[in-house]
Amino acid sequence: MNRPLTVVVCLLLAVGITVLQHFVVAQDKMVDPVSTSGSAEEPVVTDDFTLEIDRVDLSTSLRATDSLGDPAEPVEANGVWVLVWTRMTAEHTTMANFPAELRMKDGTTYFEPSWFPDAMERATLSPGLPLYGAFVFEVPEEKIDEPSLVVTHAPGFEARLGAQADVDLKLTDTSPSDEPADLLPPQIRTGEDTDAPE
Amino acid sequence: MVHHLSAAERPRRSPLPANPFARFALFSLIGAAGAVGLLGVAAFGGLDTHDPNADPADPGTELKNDLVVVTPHEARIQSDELGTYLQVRVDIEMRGSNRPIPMGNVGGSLVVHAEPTGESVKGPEINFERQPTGYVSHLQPHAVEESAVLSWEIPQNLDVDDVESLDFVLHGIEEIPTTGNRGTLWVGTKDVVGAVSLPLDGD
Repeated sequence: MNRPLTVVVCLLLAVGITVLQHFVVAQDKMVDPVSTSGSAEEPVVTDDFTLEIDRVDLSTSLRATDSLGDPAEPVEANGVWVLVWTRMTAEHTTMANFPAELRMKDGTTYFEPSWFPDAMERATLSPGLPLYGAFVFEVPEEKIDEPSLVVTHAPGFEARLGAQADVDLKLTDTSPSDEPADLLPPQIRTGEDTDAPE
Repeated sequence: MVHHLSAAERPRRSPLPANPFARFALFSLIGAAGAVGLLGVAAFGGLDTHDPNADPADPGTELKNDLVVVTPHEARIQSDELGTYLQVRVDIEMRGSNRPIPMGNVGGSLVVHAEPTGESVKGPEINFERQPTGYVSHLQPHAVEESAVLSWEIPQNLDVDDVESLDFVLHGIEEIPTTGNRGTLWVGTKDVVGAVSLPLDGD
């Protein structure tokens, strides 16, 4: 019997088992949304939608319209307003509910405050029509650390195995502006028109 | 060969009496004394953890459970066309999770007692004074909110005129897993973490 060969084969098998263990999907992760990763520099294409980051605004106050559509006083942030200007296109179904999160490097996650009727979260995407608008988050300034925008098609239980885009915002300058940021309602824009509003 | 001592030869070390009847009597007496002692404790209300609710702290005291840190400042009763609400103005920060927590989960540990009747109600809604028209569905991680207003709908069997002050009581909270892969749920427990007595603001 070839003793050294046996030892080597055993070691290789042990290493192989350990490596393969990493591919086992945990029970509680089995129906997680199907996530597509990307970065702000290029469009992220998922099964259900395409998402492209235009720019990110950081500001300590935000000028938006109220629920009746009238202009309101700028709202001070408890921390920083993070506006992620995004162009989103639904591929084949009308999308009415696509919750977004802002996820930091350490996993700390922020939801949209849902206060602003003009935020992207209230929008409806029709298939093939690119919609340009901003997702709005409120984050303590010291928590902003390599944020990613995570957008999932369908909320809660319906998100199981749903399409999800996880986009690294590539944010380098995290100091907010003191000028109020303007939140404009989402509007339909084709990909060629890359001018930012105002 | 080993020499075994018989029972009679072995030197007596036990303080118990040798007579089996005497032993039986002794144990019976000890048992009876224990039973009487226990009955006595039960008669005076039993052994219970000290109830912090019994001596509430002053306004401005920081209370803390596994999920939130709350500092209650003042209380008032608010009436509008939708109903009557018991309100407490607080500073609140959610520290226990790095994902936003639905207010409905947090509310399980936020209880208000109307004094002197002792009626209690839990599960308040929350509003931020800097954005009074904005509905707050979740507490975001590590965001310190100063001047938030917690509103509990007044219990049906409580008359507003009977309320002299409000006791804000923070209960413990624990995280339980959910089935179906949608994270965890936070549920308020029966343990009281702390209480603050708040006089009513004229109103």
